[in-house]
Amino acid sequence: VNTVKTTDEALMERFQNGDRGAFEMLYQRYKTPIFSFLVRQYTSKDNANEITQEVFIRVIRNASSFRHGSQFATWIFTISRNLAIDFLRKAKHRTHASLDRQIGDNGPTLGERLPGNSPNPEKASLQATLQDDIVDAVAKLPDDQREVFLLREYHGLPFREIATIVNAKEGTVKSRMRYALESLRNELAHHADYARTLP
Amino acid sequence: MTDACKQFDSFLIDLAYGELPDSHAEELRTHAAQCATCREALDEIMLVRKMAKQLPPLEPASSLDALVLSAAAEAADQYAEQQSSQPIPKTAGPNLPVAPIDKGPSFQERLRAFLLSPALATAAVVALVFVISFFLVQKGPLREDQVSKQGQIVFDAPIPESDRLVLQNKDKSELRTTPEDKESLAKESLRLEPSASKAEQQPAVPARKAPPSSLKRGKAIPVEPERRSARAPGSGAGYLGSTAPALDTEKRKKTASTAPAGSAGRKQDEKQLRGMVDDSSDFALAEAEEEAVLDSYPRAQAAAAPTKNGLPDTAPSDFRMGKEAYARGDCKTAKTAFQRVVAQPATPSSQAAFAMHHIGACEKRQGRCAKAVEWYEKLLKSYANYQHKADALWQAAGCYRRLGQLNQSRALLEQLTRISGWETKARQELEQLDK
Repeated sequence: VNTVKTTDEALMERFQNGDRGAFEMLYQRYKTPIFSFLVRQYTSKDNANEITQEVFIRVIRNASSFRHGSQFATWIFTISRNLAIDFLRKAKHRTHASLDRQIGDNGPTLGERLPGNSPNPEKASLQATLQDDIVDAVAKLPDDQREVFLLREYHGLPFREIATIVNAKEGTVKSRMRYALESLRNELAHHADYARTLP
Repeated sequence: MTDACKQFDSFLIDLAYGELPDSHAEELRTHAAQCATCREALDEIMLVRKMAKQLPPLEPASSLDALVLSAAAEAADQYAEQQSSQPIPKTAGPNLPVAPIDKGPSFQERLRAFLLSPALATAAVVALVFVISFFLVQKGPLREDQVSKQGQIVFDAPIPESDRLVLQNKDKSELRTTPEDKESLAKESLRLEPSASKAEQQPAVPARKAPPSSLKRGKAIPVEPERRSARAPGSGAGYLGSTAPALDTEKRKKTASTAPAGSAGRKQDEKQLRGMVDDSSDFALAEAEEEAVLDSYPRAQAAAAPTKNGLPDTAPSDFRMGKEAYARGDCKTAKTAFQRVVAQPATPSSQAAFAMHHIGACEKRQGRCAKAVEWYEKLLKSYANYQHKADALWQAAGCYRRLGQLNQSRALLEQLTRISGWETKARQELEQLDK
């Protein structure tokens, strides 16, 4: 059995040759990371759904312009970032108040936070508290630091690629990351003992 | 800190995220094993990373799948069609020799052929003849032609002195060829009756504007009736140009004297004239209040600011300049002036705080909420006892909300709930945010 994961770039090439299944695989890989990034970094869930849809439509439309020397992840996150910034810029000038208004919490629901099959309710409660505090601590980070942190920590993009996405120097990106980690360490210091028990 | 520790510190982030070559990473780990400080620094980062992994991913709406995948299927079919319609597949056969592509003549060859073509030579001759004849015609007596029947003034060569004298002796009305011109002249003479004789003495030609130096000779400028602003008051919405702030100030003064404070009409005008659409009527009201607060700073207080080492301090004049610019809607000048006030070491804290408040207000007025927030935050951090702290908090909360940073907005509003007079307003806004 071939267990080697097909690269994003290879899937993109197959899609350019008319393979719709290849795009579906790409979509399944990226829909959650893109949506999470948009919600945590820029906007409400409602708006993020709208922007996520637009991101994939752009990918479909511009598939032929994708160059195979470049990284698909960098490409799609750059599209997401640009669209989100445009969206927020336009939303700021709209009269409709609800467009950039937050609907609900950006964090997980109670059901998402509490694992249903947890054998240890006390541990589950600690984890839920930790999750709440992480959501808050990440939200409190300055925009530029949070952006770098999310892209590196949750989406696994190397610093060099992040520098391309956010249009900054690699050294700047690393400094932002370091500041973000220091802030989070201070904010989450009271969870350190519990965190050491985590796998 | 040893050199090895410095080296470790500079690569700490790369090491924690596995972005170093194995050999380098191993070298740093060996150092960490011997150095407690560096080991602790690495452990702390790894612990934060462990905690961060607990942040759950967020799933988009399931309705997205159908929309995106149907669009993808359609596009995939088109790509497949394009592939099949290509006459020669890329992989035509194994190891076939590739024929050299005939690219045709080079660029230089084509350019040379073009320059030497008879058609180009003919065109050049015709153009030359046309240009020469045009200049010859222009040299003739064109005084009558200078004022065309279409009501256009043709700016041309300077008027000869003899012609100028003749024109001076002519009645002004003769120079106006169209009936509209004559009518407007008649109105002018009625309006300026007492000085009519003086007007007659004026040379007629200079009465019409001389051509600006930027205009080319021979260029015709249409004579238009006096330009009036086609834009009705209040129609400046959407403009951040120079007209909007001017209208803004004028309208604000007018509404302040006629409409009751805080009326719906005034708020609407405030919004429209400012060219910015607020997402909350409460925050819009607060902006008006903020301006009232900012206007309340006494000039005398600004003027009485101390000097440094007996030298004249520019802060008071900058402050006045800033306030005046702010009042007339010139945010750029206002910001520059207030920034100078803040930068002056001898500026009293109350004045510096007020200047920061103004800068924040300017940024917000210009729609730059991120910048505005920076100034408000700086103000709140630097001057905890600032007399208009509540207003700064309220404005900053509004900016954060516009930026979509709701947690920050909440945090500021919660502070406001503890300030008397602001509790209800802040709670209402908090409720709105929680909906």
